[in-house]
Amino acid sequence: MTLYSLFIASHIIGTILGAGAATFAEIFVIKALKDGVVEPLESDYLKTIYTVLRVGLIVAVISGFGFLFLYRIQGLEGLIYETKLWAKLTVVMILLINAIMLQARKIPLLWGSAISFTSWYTAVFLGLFRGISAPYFEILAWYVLAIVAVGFVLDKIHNHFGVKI
Amino acid sequence: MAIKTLKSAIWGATASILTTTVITIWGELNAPLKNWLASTFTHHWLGKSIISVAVFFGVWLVVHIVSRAPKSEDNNGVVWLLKFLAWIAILSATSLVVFYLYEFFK
Amino acid sequence: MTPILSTILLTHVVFGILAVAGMYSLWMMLLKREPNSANLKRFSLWSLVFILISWISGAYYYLTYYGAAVKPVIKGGAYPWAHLVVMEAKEHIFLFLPFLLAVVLVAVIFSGTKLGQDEKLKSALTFLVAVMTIIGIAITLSGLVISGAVR
Repeated sequence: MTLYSLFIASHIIGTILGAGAATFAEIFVIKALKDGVVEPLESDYLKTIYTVLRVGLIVAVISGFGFLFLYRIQGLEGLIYETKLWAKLTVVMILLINAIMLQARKIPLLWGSAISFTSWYTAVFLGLFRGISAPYFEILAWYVLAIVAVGFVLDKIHNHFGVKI
Repeated sequence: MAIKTLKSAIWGATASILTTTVITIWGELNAPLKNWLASTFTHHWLGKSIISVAVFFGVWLVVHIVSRAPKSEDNNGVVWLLKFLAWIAILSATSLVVFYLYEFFK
Repeated sequence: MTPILSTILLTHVVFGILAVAGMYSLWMMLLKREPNSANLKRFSLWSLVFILISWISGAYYYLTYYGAAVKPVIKGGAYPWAHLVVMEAKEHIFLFLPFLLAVVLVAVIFSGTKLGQDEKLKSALTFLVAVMTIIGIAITLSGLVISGAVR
């Protein structure tokens, strides 16, 4: 197994864990808040999901930097300045800031969830569709629109299931 | 004892960060200092690394020895010092960035 | 670059990221109402160890290779500011991190479970850890900018 294969496999696994955990976090938050009270078992499940999400994030970040290291030593430094990469890094930064804001209760749960969910799937999307060559600000504009759209959809879902925040 | 150790460590870190910042800027403006670092430590950055460690432990030790034990285990002094250290880090980092930007554009 | 230098550079990057991940985790932990003191001690100790490994490996790479082989390429290329501003700032600001981490470690060891009861102490330590984490993230991204300019 080459270093490249190791980084690819790790990055995919990290992203699967992270995006998967972010998805299940939404589902379990809705289930837990249907009655307005988070029971100890529900809290325990959520803590486990968030742990998996953090593991996924750290694996994805380290393996991602692993690729960039390979670009550096293989003479492909130009790829490090690609707009898609910096858009992805910006999304990861927003994800990290969002997590801090949620932890500090400085952002409503609805919008924090929308940002988290959208950020993970944006990272998946940018990784899957390698041919994307849009400018940095265009990618971010679509990302912000996606957050707003996901926010409204989540709000509808919360209302449908009677989620009390 | 615990508060005295922590306060001394904070002073050590403050002194180390300030020393690194001052030596760096001064060294860029004053070639003999940078040359002295390079000739004494084989490289100026290695010299700054070693000096930063020496200042940290040196100041920690000196402050710990000369300061009196606090009358109570009240944390107010520690709270102020932690914030002070954070601001020293912010201002020192900003100074270095601004300095190198200025040097580049001048 | 020889295989040994590549390994050393990778070590610098990976342990740097692990240290910053540790700092970020400390920040998250301190935002809880009752931070877990055992975890705080564990994470600050490991972050300090990781930053020291990153420091030593980075120092070896910088002193034996970067100056002679990489710096001239960047300075002579399309992005000279990547060395003249970004690298110069990074290599010096990095020197703040081990001492900031050492203070955080001493603080969590000596404050024990007080952090849960003393809101001002917790807030001050959180501020310091936040500043340290942001500096760490900025340094990590700077490393990317510098690497991308080597052409």
